Amino acid sequence: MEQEIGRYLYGVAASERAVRLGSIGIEGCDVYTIPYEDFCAIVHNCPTEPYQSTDEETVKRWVSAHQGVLDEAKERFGTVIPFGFDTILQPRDEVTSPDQVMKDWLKGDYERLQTIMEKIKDRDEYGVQIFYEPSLIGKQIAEQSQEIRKLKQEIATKSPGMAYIYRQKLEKAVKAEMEELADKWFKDFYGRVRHHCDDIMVEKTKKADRDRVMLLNTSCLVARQKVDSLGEELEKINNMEGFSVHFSGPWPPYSFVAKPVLPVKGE
Amino acid sequence: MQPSRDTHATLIDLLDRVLEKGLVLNADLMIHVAGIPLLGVSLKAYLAGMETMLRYGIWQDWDEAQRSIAAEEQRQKRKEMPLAPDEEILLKVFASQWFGKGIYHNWRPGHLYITDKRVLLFRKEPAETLFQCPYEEIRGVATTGKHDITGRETDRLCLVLRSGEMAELRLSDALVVKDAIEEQMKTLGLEPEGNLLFSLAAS
Repeated sequence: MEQEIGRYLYGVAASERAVRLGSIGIEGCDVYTIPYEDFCAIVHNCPTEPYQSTDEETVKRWVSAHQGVLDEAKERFGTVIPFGFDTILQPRDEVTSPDQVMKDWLKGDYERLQTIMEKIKDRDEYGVQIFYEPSLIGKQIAEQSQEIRKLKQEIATKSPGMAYIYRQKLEKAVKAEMEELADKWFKDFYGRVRHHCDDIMVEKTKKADRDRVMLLNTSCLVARQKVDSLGEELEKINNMEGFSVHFSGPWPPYSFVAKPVLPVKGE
Repeated sequence: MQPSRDTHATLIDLLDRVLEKGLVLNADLMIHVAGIPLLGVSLKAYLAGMETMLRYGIWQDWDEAQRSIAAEEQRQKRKEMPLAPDEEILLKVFASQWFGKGIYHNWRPGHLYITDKRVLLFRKEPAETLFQCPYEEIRGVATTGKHDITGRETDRLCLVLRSGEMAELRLSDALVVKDAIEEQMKTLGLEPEGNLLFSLAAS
């Protein structure tokens, strides 16, 4: 039998208990906790080989299992510090047991873990993405802007060749107007979302589907009692003509555990 | 508005987080592959389609598709004339056939092969058999001269088929080709009909 001396680390919870969570891990592995003082690592035993696959379905299944374990841990222990996929602790030497290596790490990083836990306690992460539809917004701009209205009237009186040049001019004018507006919307929406969060990370926007453009992509750290008010705010934005909101979560605070959490005191 | 976790878009949210984020262990504690800590980048690259492929510079799918197209073209180029193993070419001349389909009408050029089994018009690039007909299906052959759009007289060779259809070919030595076809038909014990010219001229 293969030696399972690696420890796949799902997350760390604030609990001193050593418990078994059942065969809920990746590929049905037995998940259990390794405690050190008032923290415990949520792990399964594995060979010292990372999980690797080029099969999309396999990876999705693994990632879902990873998330599933963190969900279960949250149910039991409240707040969990999530680790990224394929975080596997390697054994140190022949004489130290893998569980002892884990305990030593918990001990070594104890203060760091405490700081992170304090920051994310009773909070969850939510993904908020706001999109706009250029075709709809473009129409509105065309109706409101005087310059564009004027251009449109002029087109009607031009020859086909000139009309073509004017149409390009018009397109440019609409685009410029839209970019200026996008800047304003971004600031407005960011402020409104930020207001309901304890922390926020602005992510790179991505290519959306054909008719929509992603304006704002954020990860939000939200206290559990504030989720409803964030939802209401997003509802308002979602109801605006030409805008839509994608609101996902609750996630473990993946985006808020890796960066420096507090300024170093005394500096 | 309620947050959701069960749509396709949400799956991408999850993958983004689990594969790219989360707390990181000190590198010396973690398992490495070839010195690179594994944070799912290689996994992620296979997932989210073109956008991610571009981001990580992975063009594998696209590359494979392009390669297979190129390979197919190469194969086509090398493609030999689709002759039967024991088929023998008796005569080969340049010719073009009048082709009309829908709104497309044109002369399609290729080489006309008179073999011991059939008449075949084959284009090399891109490789395609434009016309072919075994002697058994030919009723007779007629030649005629016509003025083309440049005012030059060119030879036409008309193959009248038993099905009632007619294939019209433009070539330079219609009489030679006509003789070759009739010769071979006789060799095969077939009787090419003569005097088709009049019925053609009348039509």
